[in-house]
Amino acid sequence: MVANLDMQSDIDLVDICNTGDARSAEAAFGALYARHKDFVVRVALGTVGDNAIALDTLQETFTWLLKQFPPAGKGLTLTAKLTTLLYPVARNFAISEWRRGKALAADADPENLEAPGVDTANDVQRVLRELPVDRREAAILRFVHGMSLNEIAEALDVPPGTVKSRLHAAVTQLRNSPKLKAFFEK
Amino acid sequence: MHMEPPINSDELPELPDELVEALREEDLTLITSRVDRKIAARARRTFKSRKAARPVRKHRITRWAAIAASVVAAVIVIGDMRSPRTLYADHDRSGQIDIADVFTVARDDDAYSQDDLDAFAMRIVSLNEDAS
Repeated sequence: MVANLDMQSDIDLVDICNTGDARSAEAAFGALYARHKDFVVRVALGTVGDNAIALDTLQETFTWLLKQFPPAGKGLTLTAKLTTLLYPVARNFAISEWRRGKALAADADPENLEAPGVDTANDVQRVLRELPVDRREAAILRFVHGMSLNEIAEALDVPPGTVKSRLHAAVTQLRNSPKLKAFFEK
Repeated sequence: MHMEPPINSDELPELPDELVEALREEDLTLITSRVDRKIAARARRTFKSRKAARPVRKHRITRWAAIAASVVAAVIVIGDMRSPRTLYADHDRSGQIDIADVFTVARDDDAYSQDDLDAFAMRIVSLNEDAS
């Protein structure tokens, strides 16, 4: 049962985590972690752009996931991609950590959170991080993670039309950036 | 929250391929090994209380043995047992001789007496006990 986990879908792996024996469940969870840890790190970096927070977010997000499975939790029913479920969890952890670190006022609006640049980001990524957070996360989910309109809508908990509007606004803003002019002239 | 104007187009906006590639070139040289180890250890602790999976077949055998034992108990009460060799066969063509064959004979074949069927069941139980 432990063999060929890489070939199995997220739904199958989650099912093993829910009901499998100790060895199978641990292996299935390990496969989920290996498959999605980069996604979680990218979400955190895309949200707050801080390496230390990204690592904390990685740990906290998968600890949260682990707690969903028996005996700690009641089990997880996956109706979409796991990334759709992980996105808001990772994003909220990243924002919470960032707030804690920056001692933001309790009533600060996370929608206006501006991601600080990180030294490892290239120019294109820096321009992306200058976008308002709602446009930025829609653009990251679409262009970096390749998620569909409906998947993004579910992850962000907004209607598909709103996602579409944010994507159009993000692309317009990127198109108007002098630093990215060369990409659009080719 | 930024209010975006309504979009009428059904098409999702696209970016030039080279720009998308540049966006995806996030430097992920973060050292995650510390987190990797912590998550692995937590997963092990979380799942270690789970018991090893038991094959379904074992439960089936146990259930059949219980049914067969009930039949045998009835046989002992009724008394007088014989074991006709021709009766001991795979009547339901399941690939094995088990209590289901007793039921098949009892349902479909009037040639055997109740005592014959009881003896058949008794023999199956004996073999199952020997096997376990």
